[in-house]
Amino acid sequence: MIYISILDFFLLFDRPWMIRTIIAASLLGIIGGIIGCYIILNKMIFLGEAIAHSAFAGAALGMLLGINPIIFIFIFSETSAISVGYVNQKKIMHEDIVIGIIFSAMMGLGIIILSFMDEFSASVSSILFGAILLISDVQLITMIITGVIVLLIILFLRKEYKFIVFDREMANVSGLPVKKLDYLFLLLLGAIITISLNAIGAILVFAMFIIPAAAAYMWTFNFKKMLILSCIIGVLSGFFGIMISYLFILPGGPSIVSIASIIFLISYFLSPKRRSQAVSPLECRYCNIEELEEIVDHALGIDVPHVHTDDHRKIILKVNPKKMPSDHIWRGHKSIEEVDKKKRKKTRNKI
Amino acid sequence: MSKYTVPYSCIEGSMICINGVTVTYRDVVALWQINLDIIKGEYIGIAGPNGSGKTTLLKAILGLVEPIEGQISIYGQPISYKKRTSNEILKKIAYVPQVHQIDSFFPASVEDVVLMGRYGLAGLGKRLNKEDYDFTRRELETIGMWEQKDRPIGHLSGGQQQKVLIARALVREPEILLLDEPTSNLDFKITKEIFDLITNLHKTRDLTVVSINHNLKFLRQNVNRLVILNKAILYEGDPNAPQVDKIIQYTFFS
Repeated sequence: MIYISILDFFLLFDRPWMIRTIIAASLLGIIGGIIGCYIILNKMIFLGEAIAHSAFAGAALGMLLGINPIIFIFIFSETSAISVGYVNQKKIMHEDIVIGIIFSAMMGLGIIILSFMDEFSASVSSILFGAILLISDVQLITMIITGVIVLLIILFLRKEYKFIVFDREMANVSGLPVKKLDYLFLLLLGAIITISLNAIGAILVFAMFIIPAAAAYMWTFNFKKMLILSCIIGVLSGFFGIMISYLFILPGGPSIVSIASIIFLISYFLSPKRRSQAVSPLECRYCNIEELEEIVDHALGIDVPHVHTDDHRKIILKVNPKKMPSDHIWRGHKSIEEVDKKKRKKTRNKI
Repeated sequence: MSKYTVPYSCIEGSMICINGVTVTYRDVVALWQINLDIIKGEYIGIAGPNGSGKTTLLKAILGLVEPIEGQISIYGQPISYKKRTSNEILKKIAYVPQVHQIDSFFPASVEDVVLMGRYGLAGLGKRLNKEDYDFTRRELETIGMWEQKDRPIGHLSGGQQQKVLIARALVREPEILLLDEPTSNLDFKITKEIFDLITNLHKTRDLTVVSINHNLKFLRQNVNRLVILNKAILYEGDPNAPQVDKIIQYTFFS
C-alpha cells in the first residue's frame, strides 16, 4: 500500500514539472469537455480518432526525416479533418465510412514509416501513448496559446454550433453559413489534437473528447449545464488521473482516461435522464384491443410518449410519471404507486 | 432557356414568382418547367405523390437547390444561390421541416428550440437580446405551450414537437411560411389542431402560406388554391372545383 502524507501531497506542487503536468491535464479537460459536447451531439464519435491516427502517421514521418514532428502532425491532422469534411459535404458516401478508411489507412501508413526507422524510440511511444508527465515548457505554452484560441472561437460561436447539432438543415435554411462553420470546427479539432498528442497519445486522445462529454450528457437536459459539467468532469479526470499516475507509477494518459471512464460509469448508473426514461408498466382498464392509439392518448388526457404491448393490454410510458407536472390527471389509470404496491404484495406472498 | 420553355410572366405585384423552373438531381428530373405565382396573403396547398418534387420546390424557393433553368424571384428580386446567406429577402421566409425523430436525451428545452429561430437573424457570435425572448414568449403563447417551456424537447409528443417547430418558424416574423408535411405521422385530432393553427395564423397575421400535405381532405378544406404536382404542375386552382377529384384519382391512384 502506498502511503502519502498530506505534507508530501502539498510538496508535490512545489515541483515545476508537476505544475506543468496539472495545467496541461486541466486545459485538455476543459477543451476536450467543450469540443466533446458538440462531437457527441453531432454523432461524429470516431472523427477524433481518425484525425489522431493521421497525426500519428505525420509524427512518424517527421521523426523519420528528423524534422520537428509537430509540423507534420499539424499538416496530417488538418488534411484528414478537411478530407472528412469535403467528402461529407459532397455526400459522396457516409461520413462513418470515410472516417473508418482514413483511420485505418493512416495507422497503416504510420506503422510502415516506423518500420523504416532503426529503433523503436521513446519518442514514438510518447506519440502513441502520450507522456504527459514529461511535457516541456515550450509544449505547454504552445498548448495554452492554441487551446485558448480554439476555446474562444468555439465559445464565441456556441449558439450557431448548438443549432447545427440540433438541426443542420434548419440551421442552413435560417441563413447560418453551415458549410464554413463545419470546416472551421474540423480545423479547430485538428489543431487541438495536434497539441494534445504529446500528452495523451494518438490511441487514447479522442477519449478525452468523448468520455467527459458523454458523462455530462447523462446528467442534464440543459446545454449550458452540459458544457460546464463536461469541463468539470474533464478537469477532475485530468487532476486525479495525474495523481494516480504519480502515486502508482502508471502512464499518465491512460490513467486520465480510466478516471474519466469511471466517472462515466457512475454518471450512467446515477443518471436522472436514464431513470426518467425507465419503462414503467401501467395497467389500462380503458384500452380495448380494437381501440386506436389516439383514443388511448385521449383517455390518458396527456401527451406522454407511450407504446402499447402487442395485445394492447398494457401501456408502457417512456417517462417517469412521478415527474409529471402536478396538474396532470390520470383518468382511468392506476397510478404507479398502486402498481408498485401490488408488486410488493406479490413478492411478499412469494416469500 | 431551352426550346421547350413556355414564355411566362408573373402577375404584377406577385410575392413569389416561379418562372420556368427545372431542377435535376444528377440525371433525374425533379421538377419540370414549373410556372407559379404566389400572391401576398395566399394559402397554397401542394399535393402530389412521393418523389413528385414537392420538397424540391420548397427548397428551390428557399435557395437551397439551384434550378438548372428558370428563375425564382421574391418581391421581384431573383434569389442568388451562390451567396445564399447574404440574401436579405430570405429573412422574410420561414420553413417548417417534416417531423423527424428528435433524440429524447437531447439537451434542449422547448424555449431553447424556439429561440433557435432567432439565431439566423441575430448574426454570427451575437448574443440574443430581450426582444428575441419576447418573441419566443409570444409564439409559445400562440401555440399554447408557454407553460411547458422548460420541458426537454425530446419528452414531447410528435404533435407538440411539430407545434414547437411551427413556433420556431414564427419567431422569425416571416411574411412567407413554408410547411413541408407538417402533419405526417400525426393522428386525426392533432392533424386537425395543426391545420386550425395554420389557418388561424394565415388569417390573423396576413401570412402567405405554402403547405405541402398528404391529407387532401383537410388541405382542400383550408387552402385558397390547390396545386397538384408530379414533376410538373398537373392542376392549379380552386381546391373544390369539380375536376379536382378526377385529377387526384389520376395522379394518386392510376
